[in-house]
Amino acid sequence: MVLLWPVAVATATTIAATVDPFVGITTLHILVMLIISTLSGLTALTIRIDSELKKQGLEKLPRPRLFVSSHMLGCWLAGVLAVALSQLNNFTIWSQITLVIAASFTGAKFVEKISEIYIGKVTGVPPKPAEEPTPEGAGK
Amino acid sequence: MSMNHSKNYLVVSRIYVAVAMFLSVLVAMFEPTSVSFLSIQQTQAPPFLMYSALLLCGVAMADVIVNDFAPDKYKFGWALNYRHLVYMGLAVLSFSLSVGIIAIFGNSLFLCRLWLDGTVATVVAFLDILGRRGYSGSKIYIQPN
Repeated sequence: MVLLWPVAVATATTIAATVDPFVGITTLHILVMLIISTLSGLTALTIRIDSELKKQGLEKLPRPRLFVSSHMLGCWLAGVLAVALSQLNNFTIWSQITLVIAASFTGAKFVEKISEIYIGKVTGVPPKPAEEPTPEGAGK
Repeated sequence: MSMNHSKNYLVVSRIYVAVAMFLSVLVAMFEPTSVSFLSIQQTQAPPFLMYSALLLCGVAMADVIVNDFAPDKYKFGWALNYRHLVYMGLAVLSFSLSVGIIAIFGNSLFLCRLWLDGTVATVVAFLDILGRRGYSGSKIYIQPN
């Protein structure tokens, strides 16, 4: 998840050095597109929260910081790239919005899956040892 | 603040968002003198997007009417189970409408109302999903269907 950022920054710097993708649009426009990207990531987050809380007996979210950070990093990364890509290709406003929504949602889900697989392997809690069967009548 | 009061505030917020967004989309589609209509016309918004937005607002309105006001024997189960998605969709919709206005008119005070609706819709979606699923950190607990 963290390793994706240097690649994205390097790509963005290269693109910005050759062609300025944000020319012709205002700061307010970029800000609102960032908010839309955030909302798409939050939508993916609510889906995940829903599925986690649906699990029987689960009343607290496991690793909430990991949840939020993975979704937000994924959606912002994909959102910024989507805005740059749509500006470079002269997309219309509504195509740009649709692309940002789709890319941010997909990016959030993608980074969520990657982080779950990777961090689950690294910090996964080892399973509890099976309880030994007690002899019948013990403890009575 | 008691649990019932929290639940009532959530219902009122839900009604506000559903009605406000329904009216915003109606105005944007059918009121030729409004800022949002002009921005949509000049940015050439695809009609299916606007009708999808109207459908989403209709689902939110039906959710409020059936699940909050109708007798208990009537349930709109799909809208209840996916209420968080409906309200997040409304939030995205309100900010999307504001992008069209920014592109044509630059700044407008009407943006503040759209952003307020979007923010309230986001808060409603999160409070609802945490309360409906019985999250222990939430003060609002809504009986699951």
